[in-house]
Amino acid sequence: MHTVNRPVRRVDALGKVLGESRYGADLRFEGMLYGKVLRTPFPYARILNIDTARALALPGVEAVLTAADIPGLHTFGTVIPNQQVLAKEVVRYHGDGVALVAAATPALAQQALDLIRVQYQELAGIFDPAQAMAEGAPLLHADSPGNIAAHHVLEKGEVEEGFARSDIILEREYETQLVEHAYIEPEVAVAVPQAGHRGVTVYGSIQNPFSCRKALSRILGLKLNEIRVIQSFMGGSFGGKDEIMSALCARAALLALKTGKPVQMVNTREESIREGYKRHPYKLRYKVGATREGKLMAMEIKIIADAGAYASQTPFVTWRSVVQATGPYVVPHVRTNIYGVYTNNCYTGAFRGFGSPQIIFAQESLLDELAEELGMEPLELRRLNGFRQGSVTATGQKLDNHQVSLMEVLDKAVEKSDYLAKRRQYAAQSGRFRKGIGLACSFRGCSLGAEGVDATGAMVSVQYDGSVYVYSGLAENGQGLQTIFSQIAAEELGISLERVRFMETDTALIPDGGPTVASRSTLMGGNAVRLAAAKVRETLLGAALEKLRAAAEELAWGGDRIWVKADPSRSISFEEAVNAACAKGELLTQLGWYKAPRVSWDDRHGQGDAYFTYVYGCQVAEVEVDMETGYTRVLKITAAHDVGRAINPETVRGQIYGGVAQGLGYALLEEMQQHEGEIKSLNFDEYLIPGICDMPEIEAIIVENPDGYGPYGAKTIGEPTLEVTAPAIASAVAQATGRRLRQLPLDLERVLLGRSLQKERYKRREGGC
Amino acid sequence: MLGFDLYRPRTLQEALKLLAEFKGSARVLAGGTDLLISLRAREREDVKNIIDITSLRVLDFIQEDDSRLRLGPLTAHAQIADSPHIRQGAGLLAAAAAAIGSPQIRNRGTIGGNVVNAAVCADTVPPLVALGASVKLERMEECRWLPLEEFITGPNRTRLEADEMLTEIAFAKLTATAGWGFTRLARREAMAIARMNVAVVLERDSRGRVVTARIAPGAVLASPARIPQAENILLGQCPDEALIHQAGQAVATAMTASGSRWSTPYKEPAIIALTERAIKQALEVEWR
Repeated sequence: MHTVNRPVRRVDALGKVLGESRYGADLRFEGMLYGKVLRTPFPYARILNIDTARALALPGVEAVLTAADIPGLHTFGTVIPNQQVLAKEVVRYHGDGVALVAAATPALAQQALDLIRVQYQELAGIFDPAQAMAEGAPLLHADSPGNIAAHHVLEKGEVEEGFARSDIILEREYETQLVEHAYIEPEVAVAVPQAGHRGVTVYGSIQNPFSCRKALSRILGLKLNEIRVIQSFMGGSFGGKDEIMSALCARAALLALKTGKPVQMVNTREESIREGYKRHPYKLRYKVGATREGKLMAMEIKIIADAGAYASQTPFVTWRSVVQATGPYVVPHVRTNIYGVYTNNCYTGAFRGFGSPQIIFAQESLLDELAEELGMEPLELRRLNGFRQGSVTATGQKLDNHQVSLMEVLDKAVEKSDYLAKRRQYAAQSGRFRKGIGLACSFRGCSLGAEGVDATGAMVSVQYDGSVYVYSGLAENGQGLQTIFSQIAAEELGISLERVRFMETDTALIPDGGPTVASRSTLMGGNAVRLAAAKVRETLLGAALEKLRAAAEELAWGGDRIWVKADPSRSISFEEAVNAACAKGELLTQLGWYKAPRVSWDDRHGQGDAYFTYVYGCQVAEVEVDMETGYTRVLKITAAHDVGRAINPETVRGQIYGGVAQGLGYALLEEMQQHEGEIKSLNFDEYLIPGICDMPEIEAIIVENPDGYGPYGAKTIGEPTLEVTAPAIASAVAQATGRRLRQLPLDLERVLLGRSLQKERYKRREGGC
Repeated sequence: MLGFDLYRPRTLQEALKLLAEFKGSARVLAGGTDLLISLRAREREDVKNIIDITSLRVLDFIQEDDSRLRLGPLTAHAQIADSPHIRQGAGLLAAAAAAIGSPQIRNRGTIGGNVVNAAVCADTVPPLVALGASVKLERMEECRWLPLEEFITGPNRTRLEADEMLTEIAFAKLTATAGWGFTRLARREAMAIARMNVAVVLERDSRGRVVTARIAPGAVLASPARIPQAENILLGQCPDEALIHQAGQAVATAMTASGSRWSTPYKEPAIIALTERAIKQALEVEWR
């Protein structure tokens, strides 16, 4: 391999570093208007009347729209399409929009919003999922009894029998918080009416151009081929620019089609945080039974996830949770029930991890607590129960089609971090500053699994001068996809990376390949690029054979040349091969399409081969706690992740560093404050994410066990890096302080007092530090 | 929507004249790190006129004479943190300025702005109180001096009149034998508002007895003040661990006596530790 498995520079780095890359907010079109949305002041209310007359009368205002002006349906959504692009009769959360304005300047648009009069009848909101589930609770969506947005069950073995045969039973409750993606670029959309025929072109910070197009088609009443979605450069997404972008693009498109002019909409940070979906807060009750020797016998799990006002990705997020809730451990008897519940809180959806950070925090904390009860080293408990080749998961899937590397990542992280020696060293400490070390591990299903259809495409097009385009249905969201895809195309064609130009994702130019989610890009999209490039290579090979007068098996490729193995002086350049093929009228553009291997799922029992392959990861955290203030500093994270094969080791390390940073925030700092449906931390002065000074030393260990399905054996890295950091830190803090905290984040108050004070703050309506 | 008129006076007199003219509808723009944010958040719709004084370089100075240090209100936090005069004569102020925000904020934000904004968590205020600083307030053809503790009357409240401008902050330099401490607690390492901070100045005689004690906590009381109950515990004594702890408790007691807030259950134990550490720093005792 000459390009793959090498730390080449990111192909998009230079433009971004030089500030030349154009983001959605940089786009300008002639006659462009600026759009703004008016949001509800109440989390739950009936709309009685909307008076737009005064806004419309303001000079410079070109359109004021409400749900009544929507030509198609006013709702959309991937699984249960109940999210409102503009609220029609009822607003269900504090981020719902009720009216749109397009004006000549952003200031005029803002001024016009202030002139819209809306009469509401406030309704009694439900802000606690337990209340929403209670009998007799009013229904927030008429078609969802019990306010249940999703319910997944998993039954394996005989859980009662498992507990009966256990020597020790532990019951614990854990809780995770509402978390913001905190991408650097707030959402932006620009909609441009198509000249000469019906339709609209939309640009913007769009994570999933095809999901966006589908929503627009439904809302605008247009055919798919009348909507063209082109992704702009992205300032981060982390799963967060899906539904909120569909809504923003639809709003911009409504205004553009109404006025016949381009319309740009840019969210402020406050708007972005207020409207944007978040990571689900979970309440998790775990009951575990084990033998005296530490063999896990049974687990019974009940989880309640706050879905907020709309379904969004809740059915899928909670499905991943139900599959992975027992962690990478053999548990013969399992019963899991997980509920996603509607409330009038900010809706929750996709966020890096996708239902895994919550359950891993619970299950890894639980394993530590069980180890303590058993008088065992947590590492030994994991070695005793952890997945090995041929182990059977809670869903009944036998892990035998890939390298089950849990023990390998565990051993490597433990060895590199000097875990055991430090664990002993920190066991007995006194004084104001105390250190602790802890570990956590996970297994993770790659790509979509049994969520649904899993296939994607890419196009490789070689031009007659030897330059190459790569088009992909999956999108660059900052994760490095275009570098990985370019590397794969260059590898297959035996050419230098500089020849390859990755094109922005454009729904008019490439088939719908599903969303850019679930850490599926390298695995799924990488295969599609490889297939496409391999087809072009076949054609070029045919042309080369004639030129070199040799048989296919006699030829070698690489470094922009093709030569005869036995006599390297008999060679032609890549350009010569291209010219020869063109002269014969051959097609040098090919589409690659990759369909995921078979998976299976039985909904009633939660059994089946949920994902076609898995990755394994382990992180060790070392912390120092100020026992008098609760201030916790992470000193080091040692992260070992099996990626199958690193297409680019440097971008893998980048994913690990970024995931650890996000995981550190999840562990110690981040908690979106929401009181009675109102988001309180609307900007980064109140919502604190880690800064560079908070970052510990990170030792990234890349483990490579090539997978049979992945391109060059590559699997997944995006999400696993984040999901184990918080439990590892929590475990280290527990060692340092001697107190196990079961709620995230471990902020100053929780570490010092064992409880949060934030709820009190909003109850008392007090601000400040 | 941001709607205001912007003025850029070329002299202090011109600025004071504008202030007198606008009678409260004007705000002075120095670093802008507080004002611009509140304008953008539409929290200050009463502000119709902005008087941008950033070009009045006469307000940007650090001057030292035999006994005193004088600071112009436009002095940026970064200048204070780096100034050899301040590091020598008021090290705790330099330490506080260095802890504020980020390099960008320290380059823009000014000490005058920090004082006039009068946030309870303002990092430079406790050191200035411990240094016994006074502020000079000027209006057209008139000027007055106020001790800082009298100037700030509550959270974001001062005695500054609508037609007045803060034009100087002055205090006595610390003597060569004085020790100082400044401790600060925030939720993360940098770019974080202080939850609490403590400034301490101690002078000891040749036998190690404390002869001067000034202890000023921040974000603990509604308006900045020294805590005499804590200072008295140390005065005349050679402080040991127990005495230092008592002084810390006295600060906590003063805080709880002033009222209970949501954060009090946390702040009460934490302020004891912060105070102890600041005292130990001032005594040059290893506190870790």
